[in-house]
Amino acid sequence: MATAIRTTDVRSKAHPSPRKALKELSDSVVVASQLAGNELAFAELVERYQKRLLNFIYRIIGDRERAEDLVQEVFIRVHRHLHRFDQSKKFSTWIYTIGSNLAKNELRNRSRNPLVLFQAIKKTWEDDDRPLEFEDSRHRPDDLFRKRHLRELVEWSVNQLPHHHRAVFVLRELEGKTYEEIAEITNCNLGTVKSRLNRARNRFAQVVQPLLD
Amino acid sequence: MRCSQFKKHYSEFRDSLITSPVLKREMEHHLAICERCSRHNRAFEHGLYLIREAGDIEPPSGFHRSVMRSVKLNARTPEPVVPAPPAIAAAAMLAAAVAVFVFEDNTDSFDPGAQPIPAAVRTLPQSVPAPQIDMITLTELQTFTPETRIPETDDEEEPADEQASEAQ
Ligand SMILES: [Zn+2]
Repeated sequence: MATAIRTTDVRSKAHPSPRKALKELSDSVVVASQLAGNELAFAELVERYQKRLLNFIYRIIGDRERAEDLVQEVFIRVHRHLHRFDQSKKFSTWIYTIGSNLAKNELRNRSRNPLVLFQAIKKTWEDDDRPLEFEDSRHRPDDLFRKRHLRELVEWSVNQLPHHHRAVFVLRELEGKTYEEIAEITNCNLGTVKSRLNRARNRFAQVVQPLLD
Repeated sequence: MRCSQFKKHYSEFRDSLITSPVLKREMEHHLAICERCSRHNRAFEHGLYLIREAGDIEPPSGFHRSVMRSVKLNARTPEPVVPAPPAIAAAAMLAAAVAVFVFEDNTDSFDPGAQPIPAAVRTLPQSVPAPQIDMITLTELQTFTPETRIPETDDEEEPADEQASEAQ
């Protein structure tokens, strides 16, 4: 395969190390490299997507620790099924689809399990009891408090959206995905994406308005 | 234009996807004159600004290593499928036939004079006091705070305009 780059090929390009060289390659080349047996390539994919996926899943499920577990699960599945990935498609869309499905299952299971829901609420209370840390002394504490408070309220507002609207909202507004990519990730047609996004945006405005007025 | 119409096209308007110049002008005009819709739009923009400004969360230290470790632990090594040589296959079939023969033979060797096996003695279950835990009923849980709202599932009925949009 022409795009497959092995460690030795990368090293010969006068770059200091294979790991650094991988950073300059496109996703599709890194994927091809992994499929050709270069395990460093998988480490590069993890490096590229760990933070993005963590934020994406966290914003949908609202539980950081669980989001970390699900990101691990995404990479386990990617590693296991990479040979089945259609390399004519965008890798980022494929990995987000896996993340989106896991987040969706998580919410579905949670809605059926009151104990998990209760634990999540209890954790939120405990987190709220932690002393406020002022990372930046240039800001007045009351400003920071207000900012943090507002941010929590707005995050809470995102969680008020029905979960399939929430995924579309996060993908569009925070991940900057196109309508076509969102349709592929969420396995919906374009009309559904447009309509869910319109509902999500109107609902978000409606929920935040009394908090910000 | 009515507020409901403004909200119907709000998302397309935000993404500059309205192709009709007339509709686009009506939307702009409505936003300029309607206090309610302009507050709605401001709330949306302010809310979005706060979320974006809040920034991303960072993976915990050592997360990359931990991911790589679990990926390796869970990696499936495909087992090589080696076709069995004819002699081994024949031996396996012979062993299976002998096993069936022995099993069938054993079913006939029931001895009516054999001593019955004594029944196992089981004690009745006893109640044990549970450790002291705070209990919460499902009803309390669902009505306690707005955060307890159970997310809607995909099988919810799509509202009329969503169905209309999907049909397009
Ligand atoms: Zn209006």
